[in-house]
Amino acid sequence: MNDFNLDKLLEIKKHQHGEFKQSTAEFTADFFKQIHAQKPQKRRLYIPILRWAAVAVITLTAVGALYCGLYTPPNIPETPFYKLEEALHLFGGDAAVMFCGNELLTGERSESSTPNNLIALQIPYNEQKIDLFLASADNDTVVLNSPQANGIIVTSRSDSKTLVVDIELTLNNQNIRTAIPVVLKGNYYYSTI
Amino acid sequence: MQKVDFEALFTDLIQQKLPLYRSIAVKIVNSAADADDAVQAALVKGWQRRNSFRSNSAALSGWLARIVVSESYDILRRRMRDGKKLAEYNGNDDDPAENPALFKLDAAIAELPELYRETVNIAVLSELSMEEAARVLNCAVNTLYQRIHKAKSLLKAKMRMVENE
Repeated sequence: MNDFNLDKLLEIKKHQHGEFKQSTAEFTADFFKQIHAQKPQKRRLYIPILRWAAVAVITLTAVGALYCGLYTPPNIPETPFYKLEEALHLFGGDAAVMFCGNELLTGERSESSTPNNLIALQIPYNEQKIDLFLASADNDTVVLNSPQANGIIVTSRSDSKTLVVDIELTLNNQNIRTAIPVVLKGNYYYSTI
Repeated sequence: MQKVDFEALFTDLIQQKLPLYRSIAVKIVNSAADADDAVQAALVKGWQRRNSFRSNSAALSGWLARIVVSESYDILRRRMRDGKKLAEYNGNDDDPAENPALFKLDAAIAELPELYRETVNIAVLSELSMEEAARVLNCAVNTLYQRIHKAKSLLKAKMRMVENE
């Protein structure tokens, strides 16, 4: 099929016409017959009124409870995993994502399953300690191969509430070699802290 | 708010646009009776939404042309469900001497994504000028040319596939 043949076919198609039995006046009359045969829609005015009433009741109850001191808004702290969760959401489960201090590092994971543990720990660096946040599966190996960070991090499950994170990294030309157990702190959050 | 006489508005609309709507529909369903059913169904939908178009009857007429396309394909699909393949479906039983390539073209158009299907039916197969078709499809004329170009390349590819089968 080339342009010429297609245009030819479209041209034939364009000139196809049907033999319509009804005149425009008959067609119009038919249309209005259909329209008038339809039952007029009941206007359910009470639905928007009920909706507004519900909103008003909820708002007044909340305001009243606040004034009476019955309710104190929960003080939700920003979890230390907030940035990691955002990065995971952005990069997807296949990539190895971690934060070393404030620096985002990415690498490759050996495990194909989605990381189900979020780990926070502190690692020795420059005679101090820095925070490392990473996501991993129960038994996972993360390989880092970038100018800032090079090496391997292995996570192994020790028991139902403990993971061991084995780190062998060269971070900004500093060698870090350590194994740190982390404990379940809630949901899927693990930490030494 | 000014009261709109919708009956007069729709009567005018039908007087002016019925030939266009019929011509769009008949090329899809290949049957005058089915084309009228498609146009009636589109007009009923337009009537039900008449208040949204109270201040813009031109928008209503363009929107209806697009609804005619979709209603026509709904009718065609119903016919196909009744056991007739699109390529075999010829609603106009009075005219059996049809070009088989046209059936293939119908099938290829029906398989296009909705945007390009509307483009072909309204801008290529109807009698509208490019400017009028662009107004109906609510896009710029240049955009419409690009869509036609894309729709034709998709059609060519689909027709080639059918030829090779």
